[in-house]
Formats: sequence, C-alpha cells, structure tokens
Amino acid sequence: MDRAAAELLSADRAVSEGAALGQLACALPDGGLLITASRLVEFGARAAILLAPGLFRLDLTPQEETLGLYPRILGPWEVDWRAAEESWDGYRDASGPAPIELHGTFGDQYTAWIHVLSFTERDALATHFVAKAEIRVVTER
Amino acid sequence: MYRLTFRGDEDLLDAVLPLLPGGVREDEDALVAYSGAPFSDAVLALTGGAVDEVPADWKQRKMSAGVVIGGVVGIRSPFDRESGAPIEVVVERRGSAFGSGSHPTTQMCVALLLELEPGGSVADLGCGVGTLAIVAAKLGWAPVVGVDRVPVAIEVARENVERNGVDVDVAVSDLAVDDIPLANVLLVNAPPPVHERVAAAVDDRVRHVIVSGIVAEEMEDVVRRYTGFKIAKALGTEDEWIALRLSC
Ligand SMILES: C[S@@+](CC[C@H](N)C(=O)[O-])C[C@H]1O[C@@H](n2cnc3c(N)ncnc32)[C@H](O)[C@@H]1O
Repeated sequence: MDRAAAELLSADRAVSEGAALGQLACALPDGGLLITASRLVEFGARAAILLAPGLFRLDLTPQEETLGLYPRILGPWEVDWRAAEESWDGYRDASGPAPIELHGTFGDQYTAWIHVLSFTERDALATHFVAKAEIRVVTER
Repeated sequence: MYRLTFRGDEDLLDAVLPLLPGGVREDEDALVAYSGAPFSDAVLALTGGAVDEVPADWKQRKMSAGVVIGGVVGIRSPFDRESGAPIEVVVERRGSAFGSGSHPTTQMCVALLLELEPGGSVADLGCGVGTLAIVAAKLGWAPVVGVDRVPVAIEVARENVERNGVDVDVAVSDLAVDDIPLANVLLVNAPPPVHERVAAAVDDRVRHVIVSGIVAEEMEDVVRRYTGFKIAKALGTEDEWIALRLSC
C-alpha cells in the first residue's frame, strides 16, 4: 500500500479525528479500514455519525418518520454513491426498519460500504443509530 | 443546557460537526447547537458563535406541539400540549406503526380531505394507527372504516379510536389479497401495489380517492389505474412526496 493509501486507511487517524464522535476504528485483515460509531440523535438535528478522514463524512437528520442522509465528500474525489432501494423505501414497510446501505466509489481507488441501523425512540424524540463503514483499496484483477 | 448560535456554510460544518456529537439544527438563517456541557474552546473559536443558557426541557417545549393542518385539524401525541385547533386529534404510535401525523403524506391527505364537504362514508386503506380515519370521523364523515395489514398498527388504531371518542371500525386486512372495503371517499396513503388493487376494485359508489404514499415519478402510473377519475387537486413536497384528490 502506498503512503497516501496508508494515511487514508489509518485507524489511528480515524480514531483521533473522530474522537469527539466516539468513533472506533481498526484495520481489516485484508488491509482495509473499519470505522464504527453509535449515537442517539435528536429529531431535527443534523449530526455527523461516521468520519473517514480525507474521504467522507456521513451526516444524518432523523425525523419521526423520515431520515435525511448527507454523505459529504472530503477531498477532491469523484464519488459515485449507490443505495439499496429498500434504504429509501424503508418507511413504507411497517414490518420493521430496514438497515440503510450505501456504497461509495472514490475515483477508481477506494470503495466504502456503509451500513446504518436505526431505531426511533419516540418518547426521547430521538433516533438511535449504529453505523459502520468498511473502506478498501480497489484491487485490480 | 447551553445553546450556541452561529452562522456558517458547509465548509464550517466540515470543521465543527466532527466536534459536536449532538449535531446542529437550522433555526431560521442561523445554526444552533445544544449541549449539557460547556462547548469546547475549539468549537467556540471555529464558530465565533454566541452562547446562552436555556432550560433543560426546551426541546420538549419546542418540539412537542404536534401539527395543525389548514388551521383546522391539530394532530398530536398524548404527550404533546394542546394545539388549540378547532378539531384536535390525539394519536399514539408504537414501534414501526405509521401515522403520528408528522409525515407530509399524512398532512397532505388531511388537507385534501378538508376541501370536501363532509357527508358519506370513508374507508382509510392502509390506515396505520388510524390517524386519517379518526380525522374523517371528527370532521363528520360516517360510517368510517380503516384497515391495515400490520396487527400492531390496528391494535394501536383501536386505542386511538377510543381515545378520540369517535366511531371508526378498524381491522387487520392485507389489501394485496383481501377484499377492498369501498366507500364514498377512499383515503389511500399507501405504496403503489396497494393503489393497483384498490383501483381495480373501485365501483360507482366511490366519488373521491385521496391518493398518497407515492413519489412524483410513480404518479402517472398510479393515476392511470383509477379509470374514470380525474385529478381534482395535487399537492407535493420538496422531497417528492405526492398527494392527489381524484374525483369522478
Ligand atoms: C404511509 S402509511 C399511511 C398511514 C396512515 N394512513 C397515514 O396517513 O398516516 C402506509 C400504510 O399502509 C400499510 N400497508 C402497506 N401495504 C399494505 C397492504 N398490502 N395491506 C394493508 N395495508 C398495507 C402500511 O402498513 C402502512 O401502515
């Protein structure tokens, strides 16, 4: 892995820059980076839930029955985000909340797979989120 | 509780959001952050904002007002304060059951119903916790029925019917397979497959269908299925939710 990649996939950096968010990070066995955080976010607030320094930050705004999702690109990347259909349609399915899944491709160099579980606590006027992202270097075959 | 009020753009948020786990809210043209602990020097320096102290229950006070639609119908939870609207509907929801009144589709359906002169029967198809059916009954429509396929939604809907002292018959039913209850007005805030079945079942007792639960790109296909009906009124939101009144 080159220096730039090592820097972007550094678990130490993700932990220190995400410290105020209570973010945890570790290296994946295959050389990628895993970051994870969980938080209670009050309805109407826009809060950062995951921070991958130099790549992206994911902000969320929960409301009672809708969820605003703001992936913010950090750096000069051309990013292609894709979400699973049920991520957007989740509210229509009252059989239970579906996890939100987002796939991002940063140039042709890195991929991020983001997974967010949420549970709304109406009495607390807030939603609990558990989020994780796996970030990897794209390997050419 | 401390409140920090500041102004800034996305670049400023790049710097401060990672330092504010509780996030920020938009308040008119300012940004506001709340914290139980004093804000860090770094946050104060970056934002140049003003800090004041607010009562710890400000959120409950600010957020628990419910909604008032058309100045006529207030929808709120049992925990909220009274809205003072002429018609007050109190609904509880639990788990993933839908219909607290906070969703724009619910609000648009109420707005469209308010434009009709009450008189005749109503069926709320995909009634969730019964919000629209209860609003209809309070407005003077009768008889009113509601169905939903989610048992817990119907359980809560029954409680809500009783809480509001109205006469609404609610039942568990899967509109994908069961017979469709029909009425003079159908309230269908539900996904396209439900519209497909409802549209196929509609007969000449149905005068109006209030259609929602769909987004702009689904509109044409859904409307086409309600043969003999024309769009009498259309409402939409910025995030693409649509509500229509179809009349014949
Ligand atoms: C968008 S919610 C609307 C709830 C309520 N009418 C309101 O406006 O607040 C849609 C409802 O349709 C119900 N639904 C979806 N498919 C259904 C089906 N096949 N049969 C019965 N109900 C269904 C869901 O369970 C959900 O409660």
